[in-house]
Amino acid sequence: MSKRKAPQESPNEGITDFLTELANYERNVNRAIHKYNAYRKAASVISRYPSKIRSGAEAKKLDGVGAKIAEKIDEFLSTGKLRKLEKIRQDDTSASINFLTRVTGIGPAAARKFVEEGIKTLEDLRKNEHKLTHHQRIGLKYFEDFEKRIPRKEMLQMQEIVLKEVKKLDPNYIATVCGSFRRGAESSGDMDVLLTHPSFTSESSKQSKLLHQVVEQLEGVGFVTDMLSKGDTKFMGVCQLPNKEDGTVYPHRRIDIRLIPKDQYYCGVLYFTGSDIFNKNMRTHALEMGFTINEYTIRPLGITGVAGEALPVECEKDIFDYIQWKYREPEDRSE
Amino acid sequence: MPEIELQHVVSVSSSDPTHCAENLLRPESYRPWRGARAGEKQICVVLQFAREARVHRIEVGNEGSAFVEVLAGAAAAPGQDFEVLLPAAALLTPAESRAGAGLRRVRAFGPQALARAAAQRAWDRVKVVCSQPYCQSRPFGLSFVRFHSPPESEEPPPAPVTRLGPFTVREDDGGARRPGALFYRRGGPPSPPAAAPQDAAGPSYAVATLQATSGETPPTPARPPKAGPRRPGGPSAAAGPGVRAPSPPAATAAKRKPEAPEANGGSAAKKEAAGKGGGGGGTVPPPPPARTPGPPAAAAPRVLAGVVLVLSGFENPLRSRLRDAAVAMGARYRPDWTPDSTHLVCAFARTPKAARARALGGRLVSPAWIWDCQRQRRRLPCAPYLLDGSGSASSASDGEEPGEAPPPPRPRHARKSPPPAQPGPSGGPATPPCSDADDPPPERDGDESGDTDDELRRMVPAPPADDPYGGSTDENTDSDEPIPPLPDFFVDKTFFLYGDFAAPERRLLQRYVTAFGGALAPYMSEKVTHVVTAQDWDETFEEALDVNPSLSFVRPRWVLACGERLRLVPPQPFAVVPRA
Repeated sequence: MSKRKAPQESPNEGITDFLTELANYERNVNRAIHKYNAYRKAASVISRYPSKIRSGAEAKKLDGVGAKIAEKIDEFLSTGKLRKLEKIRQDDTSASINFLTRVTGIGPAAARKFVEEGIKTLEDLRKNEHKLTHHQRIGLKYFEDFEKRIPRKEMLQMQEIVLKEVKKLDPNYIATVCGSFRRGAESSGDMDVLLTHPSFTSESSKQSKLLHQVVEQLEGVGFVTDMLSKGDTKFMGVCQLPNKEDGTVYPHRRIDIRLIPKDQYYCGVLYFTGSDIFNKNMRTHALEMGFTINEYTIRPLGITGVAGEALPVECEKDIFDYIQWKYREPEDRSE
Repeated sequence: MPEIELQHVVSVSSSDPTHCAENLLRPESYRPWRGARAGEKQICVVLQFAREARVHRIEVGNEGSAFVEVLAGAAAAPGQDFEVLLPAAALLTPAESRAGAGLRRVRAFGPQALARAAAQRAWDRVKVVCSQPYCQSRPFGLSFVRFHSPPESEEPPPAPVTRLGPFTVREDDGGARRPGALFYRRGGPPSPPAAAPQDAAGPSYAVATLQATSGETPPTPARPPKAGPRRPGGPSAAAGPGVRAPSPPAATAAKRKPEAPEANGGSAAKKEAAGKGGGGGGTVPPPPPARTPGPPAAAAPRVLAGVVLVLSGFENPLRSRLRDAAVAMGARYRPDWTPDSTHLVCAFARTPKAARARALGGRLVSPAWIWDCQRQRRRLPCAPYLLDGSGSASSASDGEEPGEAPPPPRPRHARKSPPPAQPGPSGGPATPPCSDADDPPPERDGDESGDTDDELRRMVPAPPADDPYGGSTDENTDSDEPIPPLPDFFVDKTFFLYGDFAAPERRLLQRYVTAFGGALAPYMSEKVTHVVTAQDWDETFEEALDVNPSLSFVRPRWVLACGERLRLVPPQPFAVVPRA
């Protein structure tokens, strides 16, 4: 969920690209998360616009495109570039910060710190490895690999390995690969696996073993190659498909595995399937209907707005059902 | 677990003529209450308990509702909001609702399911809200709802006539037994006699001595603070402690009788009351005239009744523990400072919230106050717990110091629990000593862990003028707050200082903003309402306006001008505008 890439091809790629670049600039350099969200929303809605946009006025009709973004689109369409963006690109500091945040484990704050210390490039990072956390070192080591998108074909192979190994361990496990992959994306940035087991509920005690034995199993078959962090409920690491028959080596990929109590599993699956914009819309609708949804539960709101007990959820459909929304397949959840 | 009797239906939003809400009052459960027609989304009914009680368990027999929520309130305060007792809970899933399956299911909600703070208080009214958004084709409601009070076993024996110090409470105070029972336990032999002397031996022995010589002891149980509690239950609640309050002074009065011959009317009345009660164990009805469903005894554990507190600087779970503890003792909680708030319990004395509370005359106390009150089950004076100056000036009048002068007129009792003129022989004082047994003796003030010297200093110079209030505890000194409160015209405004400022100017601006109730944002966010800048219009301003069209851009001079005039001045002359 961290290092998002631009939405995939569309007739308006130029526009979505510059909007995404502005979004990242606002988040990484200015740490203005709301501007980041505004640009992302605009980029998302434009990327789904079927025809080529001719003017800012045309784009302005779309939800999420306001006067200022429309102006920028006009400037981009007429001159082919954006002064603001040129300025940002020329600004050494913001360019460096933006760049460093591409390394997993380096967020906007760490990036700013490094830049202030004069560490601005991969070379600088390598020279200063002692200043990096374990996570950041792995991020540096596989920097080029992690930059690469994962084609859907490979995601399917990876999914197969994970599900097979999990079932081998205990057929009662339930595992779902979430993220854009579940929404049918042609390529993904990383792999996000949600895991649960009927014996693990929010009432029961912690059962980190359920997570750790899966990780060990995947390490055992050589799929998981590195660990970034491992807690009771969340594993972050690196995985790699076995070499092709002709000896070609696959890139290393980021993988997260989360262990979720059974009763919260489907709210988790819904949340981690996204898209985040779809999630926001769904939560807004839920509030209108008198419910509150988060990553763990759906709860009814009382007349004074106090959230009630968690509602029983047996599948994603149940959540849609409570808020009286027609079920939407993961593929239809881009917005 | 006795069932709480439902007395009548106060109101109902919708009910079928046959399946009327009154059906809920009947013991048989085959006659349900239903809304008048199909297609309603939400219906609610307000029920009156026969007597005030704590709710320990709720059983709900469904009649087609998808969700049920129960809120509790007080008949005596109809205008007051109900508090959530049972947060919304599911009775049917959407699929069941539509299919009409399992419509009559019964669910029981134990103490775990109930909102903790609300379940710890006694109520006499409940609002039951049912909703069914999924099925428009049939009316829905409940077939029954039953409320149970906590099991007797958990309680100290409530039934026998309850003794309050020298008083005996008549059975007809009936109602909420539990609090009465608590009283009983508290007054009983186990703790106080043993505990109090030890307490006295604590840090402030000097204080105790002082008091002993002065011969007067302020009983600490609270009196209702200034802003009269809004629910009439409050006064009666406060009257509880009030009733028992007389005993220590009465007792001491007896001891020091020689020096303090004839106290004034108030104390006489009280003494005589004490005498009467202590003497014969006869029944002295606790006298609060305005009786409410919540009998006076209900107040026993509610030692903080009348306190309206706000928390600052605590994170959960500590925050909720503090809040629950205070609410359980009868305090009211506000998430943010309101005009009726009285105390700010804060972790740090110098937060904006603290500054505002102080400016508005609130008292800043440390959390230890809550814990100590809880531990000792009584209202401790908050002076030793005051943080950083707030009320320090007024602490002298706070009560602990009766002054050297022996005469202890204590009108406050008269004021508080007006014992309806019971002109009695005031020969009573001879007997009260027995009351010492159950009431923490005078020295109790010594047990605050406050600094001895400090306390001494506060006590010695106590102006005699304060004596009329000498016995009062810690409340209600706001009026003599010497510093006029600062206006808070910046409240609800969040400022972001943009661009370069000279350090002194920045500091001054920050001080002004904070002093008048505004908030400062460390960086630009959607909360910001005002951007203060010395710079010219900048294109980033336009972007910010994009995000928040109501944003104002002002010169620093505006903030200072507002501060100088102690009010909001029109910002237009100070606005930052785009160059033409």
